[in-house]
Amino acid sequence: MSLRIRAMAFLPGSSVSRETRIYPAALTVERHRPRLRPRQRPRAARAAICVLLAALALSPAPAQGDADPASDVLLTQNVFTPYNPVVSANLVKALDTLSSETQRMGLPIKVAIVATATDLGGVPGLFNQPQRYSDFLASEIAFNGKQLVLVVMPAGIGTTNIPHAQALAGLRPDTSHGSDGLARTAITAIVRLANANGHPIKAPSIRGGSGSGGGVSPVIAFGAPVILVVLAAGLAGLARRQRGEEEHTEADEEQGKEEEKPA
Amino acid sequence: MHLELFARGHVVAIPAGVGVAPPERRRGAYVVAGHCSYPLRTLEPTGVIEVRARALFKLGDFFAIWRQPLSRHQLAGFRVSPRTPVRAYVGGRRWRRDIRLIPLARHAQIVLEAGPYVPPHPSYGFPPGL
Repeated sequence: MSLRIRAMAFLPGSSVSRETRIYPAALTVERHRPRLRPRQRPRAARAAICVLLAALALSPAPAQGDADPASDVLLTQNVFTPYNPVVSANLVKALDTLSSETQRMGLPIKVAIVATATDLGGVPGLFNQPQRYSDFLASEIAFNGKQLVLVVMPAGIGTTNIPHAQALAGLRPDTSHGSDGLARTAITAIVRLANANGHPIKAPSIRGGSGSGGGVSPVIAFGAPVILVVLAAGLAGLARRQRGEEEHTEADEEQGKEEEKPA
Repeated sequence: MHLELFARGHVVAIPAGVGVAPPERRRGAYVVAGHCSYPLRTLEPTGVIEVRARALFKLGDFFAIWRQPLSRHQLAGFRVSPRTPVRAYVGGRRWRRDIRLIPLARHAQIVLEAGPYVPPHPSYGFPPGL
């Protein structure tokens, strides 16, 4: 008996193929008429079982769900950043550059930065459980083999399948600058991991972007409304004073006219 | 609302840009602008479908805009046998009527499965502003 295994990939429509998402391979088994001598059968059967077991072991695990946005974004991108507060554009750019660089060096790390439970969509229960979520995410995006995953949450850092992850020992997420702080922690973590894996890399220089999300400095965010209120109050005061003076002059003029009239 | 699709036990992606007319502008995996858009659209590949306020649409409308088939026996490009039809869950509960008639209500969580059972999520944490 001979056994042949063929792999197929599904692309269910043009819209889907635009996203370059590749569907997990399905295995079809084609059986042919047995032509072997009887004594060869046990060996062939054993080989067939081995091939089948290997194929099953290599086939992707069934889905547990698709409710976390990071698993969808990381299929085509290397970095997932929080919805709110958003990470400053220059930090996102630095993260993208850094992850592309490490990918070129043979260390393709998928990074998920999770600032709030909303960033986890339908699995909010995994918020602030970086290691559990890292393992979960790695299993979700493991269509084409093992994925190296780094998760940064306010409570800590999680890694899956990344060699020399002990290089992150002692690294605590920067929670004082919102999403930007977490992004900076991710940058530090990637640099440490690359160095530990024999790919010396320097942290990119980041201009500004120290605000907590959106790239707007707290001085501007809080100072601008105060300045506007003070300006508005000043203008209103000026207008009131001007109106008062006009009323005074009109009253004086009227009084003067009355005085001119004979009693 | 949020939509999850499973076929033969695996995730089927809903791409960003459904209902957005080209030329579309992208930032990473997200569509940030387009020529114009339908009242039903996706701007991210996460399954979040934006529905214009006060618009009454059904799941069949979304698949029509996406140009993918949806019936009891077909989910996008995946056909199932008549004995095991496509199953739908709304908020974690089984929907037994025509799946094309599922209303696209605000913050609804809809799961469609063609093939093995995948435990459906009853809810979804939507990004701010939706």
